[in-house]
Amino acid sequence: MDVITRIFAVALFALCSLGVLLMQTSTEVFAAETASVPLSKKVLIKVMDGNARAMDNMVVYLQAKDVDSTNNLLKGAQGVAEPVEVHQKDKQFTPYITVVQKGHELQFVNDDDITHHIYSAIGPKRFSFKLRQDDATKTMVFDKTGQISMGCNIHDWMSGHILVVDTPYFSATSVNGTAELNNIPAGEYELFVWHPQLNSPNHRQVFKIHKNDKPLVFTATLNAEMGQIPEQKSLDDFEFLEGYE
Amino acid sequence: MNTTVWILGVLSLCLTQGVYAVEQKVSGIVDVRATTTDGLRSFVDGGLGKFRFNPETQVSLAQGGLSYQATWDNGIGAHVVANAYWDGVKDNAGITEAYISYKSLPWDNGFRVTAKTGIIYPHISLENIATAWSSPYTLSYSAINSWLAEEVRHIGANIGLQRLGKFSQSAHDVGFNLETFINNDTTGAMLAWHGWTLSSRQTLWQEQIPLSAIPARNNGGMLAGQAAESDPFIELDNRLGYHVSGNWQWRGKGKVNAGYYNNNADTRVVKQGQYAWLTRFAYVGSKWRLPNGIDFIGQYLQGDTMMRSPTGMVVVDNDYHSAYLLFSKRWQAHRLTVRLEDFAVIDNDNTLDDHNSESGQTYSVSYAYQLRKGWFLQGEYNLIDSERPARVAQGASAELLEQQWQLASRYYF
Repeated sequence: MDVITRIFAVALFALCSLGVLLMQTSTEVFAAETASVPLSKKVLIKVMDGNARAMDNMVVYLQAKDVDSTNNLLKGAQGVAEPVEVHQKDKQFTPYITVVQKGHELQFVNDDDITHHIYSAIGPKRFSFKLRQDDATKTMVFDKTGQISMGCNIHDWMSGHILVVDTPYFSATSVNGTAELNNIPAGEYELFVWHPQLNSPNHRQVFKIHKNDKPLVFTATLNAEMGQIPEQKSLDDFEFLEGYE
Repeated sequence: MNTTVWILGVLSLCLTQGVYAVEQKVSGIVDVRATTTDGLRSFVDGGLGKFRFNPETQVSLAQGGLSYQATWDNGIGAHVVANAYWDGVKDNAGITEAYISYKSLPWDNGFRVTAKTGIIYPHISLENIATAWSSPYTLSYSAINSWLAEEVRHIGANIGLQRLGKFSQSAHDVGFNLETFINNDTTGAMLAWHGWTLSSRQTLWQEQIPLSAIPARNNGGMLAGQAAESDPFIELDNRLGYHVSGNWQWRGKGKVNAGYYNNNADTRVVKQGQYAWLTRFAYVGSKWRLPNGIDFIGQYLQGDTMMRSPTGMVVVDNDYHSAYLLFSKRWQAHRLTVRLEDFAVIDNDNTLDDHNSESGQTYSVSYAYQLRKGWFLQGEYNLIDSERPARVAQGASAELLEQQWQLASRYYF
């Protein structure tokens, strides 16, 4: 083999090696993209009733269907925790509905100048405590998913709900019935629409979200009826009541 | 009285038990009132006038109410209410209520137990819901609740079962109460002998109520043995009375209560001029939120009362009823209330010189302005148009219009 032939062979080997290397590298990049590229940066959800009327203040959340999605979801969950507060203001639970991610803290804050005796009536976490004017906050961690309905044993008309979800991707619909969920990792998801007055099992309806719809705009049409949202107001419109009512 | 001491003793013992987290609250009302009354000498002063003030213009401490509440985290509470009156008619101060209460947390099925024992009102009034049993709507209570304030109170024990609808996605709450009581054996005497009133005077636990100059109380009369003052909270026959009631509330819309009260008195018993009166009544009431933010309250009460001589002869046998309709509208710092009432006592006995029959209507208009938190200026006009033949024997007219103008500064704290 002359020198020219040897140089050509080495060059050919090097080229082939580079080609294999390049092919392997591009496969890995592709695979990585498949796992981390968001399904859609912006998922727009619109909730409507059976008569095509927009439904506001409905809780919507995306729940991962498979293990990969759960892993992605947990990655996504990092750093999204926000302080969640439920206030007692003007003898009302404010807001009426609060969504908190499983394992996260929720703080009860009494803004009134009277005592409230908060209790959980229904749900995976049972509690009862008094929030006095001068001892106005209490922090609690919710480590089980589900709906917790609350009342006040002093002011029976007070009513509030907490929904504990195992996902960071939740929101509530606005007046026009829409909600936005952002930065959703790729994966298989179910969309849950929940409201304590929704007359369906567990007060929710489930919808399948299809992969690779970009951008994703999803309309959830509920076939369940809504009950009346209770007015958190005493029949006795006077501030200085002492239990005679 | 021994029972009263016992109750206050138990309350004191409770209050000293500081081992549990206890929350204490002192609240009160100071009601300073200028009144001009046109009518007869007040029933509070032994007359047949249907207002609590004598017919004159005066300034008074119409109510100095003080309420002390202690509540423990386990649901037990203690509540003592004292009232003072300085009105030139009957100046006095004392206890009006003193009781221990319990309220459980609701169970999973929405049921909740309540209990109460001590010196208590039967839970009937839909008007008297504010501090020291005052009414946020009017200065003078309705005839029904004026009667409760005067002589329908007792030492009782009450147990209630409520079901909260929110546990089953329902807007409807229901409740049932059973109450048994003592120290109320003369209840009914005042309704017979001066009739229905329009008052804001709660009889203090230690007080007695003077009778008017009933002719039958003269020597040789059928009521000659009756003491000059009725002791409304005395126990004479050692028998228990009872009161059952039920209530339904449509959350945010309204509520209805109804009940039956029977003091189960043994009318053969007379002690020191105090006769046992068998007094029974049924009642129904409703509070409703009408359109345009108008609050409606209506109550109806109907019953009978009977008193016998020591020989067993029926001396007083009366039927009675009263009803009122109240409409109240609050907007910003203003509240305007209008109340219309009807009342009657029907005398079924043949006792000479003791005519208890009467009938009448009342009309009240009240306007309150809230100056700042807890402080209200309130003006009120009351008119009572009634017929009571017994007035003639005391030098007044059977047919009578009584009027009252009131201007109050009421401070709640």
